[in-house]
Amino acid sequence: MAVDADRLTDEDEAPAIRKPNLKLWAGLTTLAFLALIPMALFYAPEDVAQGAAQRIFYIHVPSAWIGFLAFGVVFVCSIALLATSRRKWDDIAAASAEVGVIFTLAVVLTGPIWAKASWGIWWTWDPKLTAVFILLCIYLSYLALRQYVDEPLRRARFCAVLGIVGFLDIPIIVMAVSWWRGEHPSSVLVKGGMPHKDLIVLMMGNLTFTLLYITLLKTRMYVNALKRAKQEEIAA
Amino acid sequence: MNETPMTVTYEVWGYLVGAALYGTYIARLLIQMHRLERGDDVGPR
Amino acid sequence: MSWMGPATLIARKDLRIEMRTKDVVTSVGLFALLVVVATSFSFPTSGEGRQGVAAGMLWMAFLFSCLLGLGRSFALEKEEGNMEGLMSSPAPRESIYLGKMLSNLIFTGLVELAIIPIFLILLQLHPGKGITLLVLTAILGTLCIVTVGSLFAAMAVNTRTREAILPVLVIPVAVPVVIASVKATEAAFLGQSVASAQGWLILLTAYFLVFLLVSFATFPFLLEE
Repeated sequence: MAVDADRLTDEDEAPAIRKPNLKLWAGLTTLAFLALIPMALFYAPEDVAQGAAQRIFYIHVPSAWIGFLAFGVVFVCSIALLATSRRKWDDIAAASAEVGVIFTLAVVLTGPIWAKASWGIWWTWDPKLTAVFILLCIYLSYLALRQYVDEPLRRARFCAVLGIVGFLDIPIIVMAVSWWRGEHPSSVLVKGGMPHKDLIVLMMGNLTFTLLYITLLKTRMYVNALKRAKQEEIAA
Repeated sequence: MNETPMTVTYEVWGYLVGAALYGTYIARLLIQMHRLERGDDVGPR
Repeated sequence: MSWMGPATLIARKDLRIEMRTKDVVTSVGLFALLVVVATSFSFPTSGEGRQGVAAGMLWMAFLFSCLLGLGRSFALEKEEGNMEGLMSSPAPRESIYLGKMLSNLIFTGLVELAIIPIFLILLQLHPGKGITLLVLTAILGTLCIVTVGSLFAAMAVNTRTREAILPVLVIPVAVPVVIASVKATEAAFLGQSVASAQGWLILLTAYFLVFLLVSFATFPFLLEE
């Protein structure tokens, strides 16, 4: 692996920073939310047992899926980074990790609110929520590692290894936590028999949050690129 | 205690917390973006 | 398996140094003992669920002792500048990982074997037939921690915070190990046989195999200059 020790390889020496079409993605995301919010608040039928609080589900669940998606992106980019040493894979991974933390945090914050409304207690060690909480911890340790390694190529590689290990750990975490709480992993993962309308709103939620993820990812990468250019300018 | 208003409170809180979290992050990104585009530095984080 | 030769050489080097200085085993051993003693003051001496609490306490002691040992083991290499020497040798990179993993497994294993009897006596636990399960779980659980721990320790000593970041990296990833080990150990304290906890033992084995493979595949990248 003949790589210049001080820098990741780049396609060009100093690629010009192109501003991504954020207005387009932001616009699509906003439209999606404008559709989703009324659907979640009004169109979806009210849950008999849990009342209005059940509607939190439509932010909670899509956030969880995107939290996992973001880490999947980190995983793929990590492998690509180790294979090629190209800077762009590290850039995407770094941005995806940070954005992923936000989505995962949203799950861990809305979960207890929903739990309190439905079961009267803030934390029930529900397997799904617990697994997401551990994923959040892995994300945070990823970001910590990113903070504390100074040399760029080394930082990229270390984080890539953590990204790979963390992602492959997720199924094992889900299994362990499910069994610990006396449940079967598949019943934890798949919610069977959802009413038609609920499903539609949920799908809309997933689409909306995916768009949000893409918008945030592109923005974050753009800001990071600007930052790096600024740091280099100051250092020069 | 009347059940419905209680759960609506939680619903509202749930959406508010979600909006606050995402909103804060979006705002932070936008502020950083504008400052960097203007030429200011925003520091390592 | 061309790795085993150099790996055992590295492990034996660590063991030889350790037999002379007794650094790691005494500091880690003392640490483990003190954790056990400190937590035993808050331990319920009777009642339901004692075994579960005890299992948790034991594994907290084991987990942190293992991390302490790993951190010191790799920090020592870095301080002595051994890594460069090892890397320029014809030994395959995977052997370095395997060697460090083996030596740490042995060190931590020795500490654990000493701690377990003390623990059983202090907390008045009588595993009886569960003793096999207890030892088997200790071995498998430690194997898992050392497998990912060695990978992360090699990273940790190259960060600004050195070994201090090791727990931050390992603990979230090792949660399944802790869960499985604690549940199996609880079963052992209750006098149950290996068969009753086989699900947990299988999980530990799977964890070990998966991350052994991943470590083999990724360790060389950590050492690249």
